[in-house]
Amino acid sequence: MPSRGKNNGEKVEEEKRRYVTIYFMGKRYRVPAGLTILKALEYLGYRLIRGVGCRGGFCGACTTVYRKHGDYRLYVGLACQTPVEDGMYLTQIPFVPAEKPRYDIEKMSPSSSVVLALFPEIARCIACNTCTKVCPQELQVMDAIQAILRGDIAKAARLTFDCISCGSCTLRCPAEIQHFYVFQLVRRLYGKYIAPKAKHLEKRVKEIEQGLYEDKLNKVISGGPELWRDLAEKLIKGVEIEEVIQG
Amino acid sequence: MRIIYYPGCTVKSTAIRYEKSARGVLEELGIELIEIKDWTCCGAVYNLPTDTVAYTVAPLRNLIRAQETAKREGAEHYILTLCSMCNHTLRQADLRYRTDIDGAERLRRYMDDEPEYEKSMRVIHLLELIREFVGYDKIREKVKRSLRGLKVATFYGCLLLRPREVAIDDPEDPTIMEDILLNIGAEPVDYPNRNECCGSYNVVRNPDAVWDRVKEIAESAIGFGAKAFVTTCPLCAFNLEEGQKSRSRELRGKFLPVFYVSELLAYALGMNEYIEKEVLDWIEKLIG
Repeated sequence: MPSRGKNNGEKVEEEKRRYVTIYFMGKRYRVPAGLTILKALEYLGYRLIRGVGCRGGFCGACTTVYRKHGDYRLYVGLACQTPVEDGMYLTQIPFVPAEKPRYDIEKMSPSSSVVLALFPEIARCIACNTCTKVCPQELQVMDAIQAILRGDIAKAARLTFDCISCGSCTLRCPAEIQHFYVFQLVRRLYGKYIAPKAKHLEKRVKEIEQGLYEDKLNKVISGGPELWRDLAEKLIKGVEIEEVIQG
Repeated sequence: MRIIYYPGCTVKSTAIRYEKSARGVLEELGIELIEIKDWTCCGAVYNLPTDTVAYTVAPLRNLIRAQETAKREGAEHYILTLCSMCNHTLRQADLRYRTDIDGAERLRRYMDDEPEYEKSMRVIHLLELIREFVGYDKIREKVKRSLRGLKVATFYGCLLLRPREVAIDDPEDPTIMEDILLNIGAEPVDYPNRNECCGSYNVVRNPDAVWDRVKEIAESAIGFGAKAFVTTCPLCAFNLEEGQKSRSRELRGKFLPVFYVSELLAYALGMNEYIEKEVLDWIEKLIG
C-alpha cells in the first residue's frame, strides 16, 4: 500500500527547515526559522521589559551580541532586525554604561580640542577598527573618531549621521571611547556652527512670531468641513499651501 | 608622475602652511598627488618593542589604503609624506611587515577586514621625491628668484635619519636638504647640531628640557651665521619656534624664523600665493 503521509525521514527534514536551534544565555531552544531574535525570545516566553524599544531598527535599544557555530567572530546586531540562524549563541545587552558630560553648545567651537576636552579618551584610539567591524549600522566608526582627531568635525558628523546610539562600539573599544556621546556632540557642533543656516526657515519663524498667519489660520479653523475638504483636494493636486490659504 | 599622498594630522592643522607650499611646489614640478580618502593617524610614535603588534595596525592600515588607492587610480606605488614623524612610522611599519614574519602573520589575521598588504608601497619623503624624481637640475631651471646667499641652518631632527634602515640619507652626514637649498641659491651653514633631537614630545611633559635643547641648537646656528632654520618636521618647527621664544633672554633677543623647505622652494619658484603672508615677509626681510 502506498504511503499517503510523509515518512519519518522527510518529517525530520521538514522540521529542520522550519525550526532552528539557538542558545540564549547558554540554554538551548528550538524556534521557528524566519523570526527575528526579538520575536524568537518572545516566542520562547521571555517578557522583555528592558533592552527593547521601537521594534523598527531605529532606537538602538535591543543590542544583541552573538556568535555563530563554527565562527570565531563576535557579532552584534539589533534583536528586532536580525533573523535567527541555526547555531546562534545569544545574549542581550540591556544597557551600555556611559557618562554624558554636560556642556553649553552656545559657548563652543567646532574643533578637535573642544571634543578632546570633554572626551580625552578619543586620543587613545589606535585605529584598530573593532568599532567599525561591530557597528550594526555599518558606519565607519573608527574613521569618524580619526576625523575628529584631525579637526574635521563636518566629516565626523556626516559619517555618524545614521548612528542609533546602540553602544556596540563603546562596549568593544579597547581605548574605552564613549562613541555615541562623542558623535552626538559632533553632530550638534556641526548643526550649530558648520551647516548652512536655513534662511527661509528663520524668515518664516519670524513671520509666525509676528502673527502674520493668525488671520489665515483662524479662517481655516472656522471654515468647517466643507472648506477643509476643498483645501485638502487642492493640496492633493499639488497646489502650494500658500496659494491654497490665500485663496 | 602620479603618486599617493598621505598627509597626516599636523600638516592639516598647525602645519598647514607646510602642506600648502609643498603641494603648490610639487604641482609646479609635475608631480600629481592623489590623497588617500580615509587616512587615519599614522601612529605618531613608532612602538619599538617587537612583542606587540597593536601599534602597527594604524600605519599598516594606511599602507593598505594607499595600496588600494594606487591600484584604483593606476598611480605609482609610492606614498608621499611631508611630516618626518609620519614618514618614520609608515616606513617602520612597512619594514616590520616585510621582515618580522610572525608579526606580519598576526597582523594579517587581525586585519581581516582589509585587503592584504602586498608589500608593494614605498614610503617616500618630500626631500627624497625631489632628489630622485624631480632632480636638482629641474629645480635650478625653474628658479625665478634666487635666495641670494641667504644663510640657513638646516635642521633634520632625528626621525628622518634614524634608525639607519629607514633613513632617507646618510644618518651621520646627510646632505639632501643642503643639496636642494644650494640649487635655489641659499647658503646652508655647516653647524654641528643639525641632526640633534629637538626634544620631541617632551614638550608636553617637560618643556624646560626641550627649551634648553633648543637654546643650544639656536646658539650654535646663530654662532655659525645662520639667519633662519629650515626643516621638514612640524614638531621640530614647533619646538624650535617656541623654544627660542621661551629662552629669548639667554639668546639675547635673537630669533631665527623657522621655514619649511617647501616654503623656500615656493619663494624661489616665484609662487607667492603658496606662502603665508607672515612667512613671505620674513623671507623678504632676510633677503633684503
